[in-house]
Amino acid sequence: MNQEFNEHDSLRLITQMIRQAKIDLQKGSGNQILLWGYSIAAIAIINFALVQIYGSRNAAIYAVWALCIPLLGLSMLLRRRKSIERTAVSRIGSMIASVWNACSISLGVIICIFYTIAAGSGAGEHFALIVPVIMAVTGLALFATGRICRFRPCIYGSAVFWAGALACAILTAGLHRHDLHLLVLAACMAAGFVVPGHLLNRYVGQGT
Amino acid sequence: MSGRELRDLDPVLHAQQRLAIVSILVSVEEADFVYIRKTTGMTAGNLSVHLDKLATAGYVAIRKFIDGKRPRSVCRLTPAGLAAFETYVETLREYLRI
Repeated sequence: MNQEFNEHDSLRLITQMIRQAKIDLQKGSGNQILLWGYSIAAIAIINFALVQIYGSRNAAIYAVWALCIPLLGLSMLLRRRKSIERTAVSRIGSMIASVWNACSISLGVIICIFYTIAAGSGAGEHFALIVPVIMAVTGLALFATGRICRFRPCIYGSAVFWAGALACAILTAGLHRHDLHLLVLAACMAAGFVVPGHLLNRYVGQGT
Repeated sequence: MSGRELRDLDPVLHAQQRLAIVSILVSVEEADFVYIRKTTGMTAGNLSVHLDKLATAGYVAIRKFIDGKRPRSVCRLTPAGLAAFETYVETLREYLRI
């Protein structure tokens, strides 16, 4: 590199470096979304099948959601491995990670609230709200992600989650079918996570 | 560019190598030595010299640690470095009347 360069070269260099840094940092961005999208959709379908076989009153069938614990471990392991391989942290990546950390904490708090109320009152009717509330919060995080990285499929995905949350309310109020919440959740994970995840990876692949 | 305008530009940043380093660090939260070297195409020795100059000016903070078995140097722009870069770009824009 030559130190003698004019003001036009300066601007060109700044633009080139910023663009280069931006492209390099987005590889594999959709992998976490895909991991959670496929896994939660599969768990929801398995749970729905178990409800049909054993009935919704059998609390043991909901233990299938304990699979989220090793899934969280796998997700953290992948994030850790990526952070070791990664040689730079983008501002966008950092912001998106913060959004999903906040979303995860919120979901954890919401689940704790539901179980605490159930333990205290002995009533379980409010569990009809758990899937739509989780979907509404997930929609919020997906919307923020879409806005931060200017990726429209994530924004459309958030609309799917919000519509899904409303659909759950309608199913409960109209049909009294809480079990269908699980199918709505699986459909929303497919449309709101899996599709944007694949599109994001393809978009990044084209950009590099 | 006239002499007056050249004086307006920060001499620490108005060097191709250092401007390249700071431009990368502006667009990321932090970046390690290898990433900056690959992106700028500079040699390791050359990059070290320029990073030291930026660190001495207070524009870049360098964190050195052992990651597993390999030593790593992770760099991030300081608030002073960001302010200097913004002033540099603003001076350029004024001169070019963008």
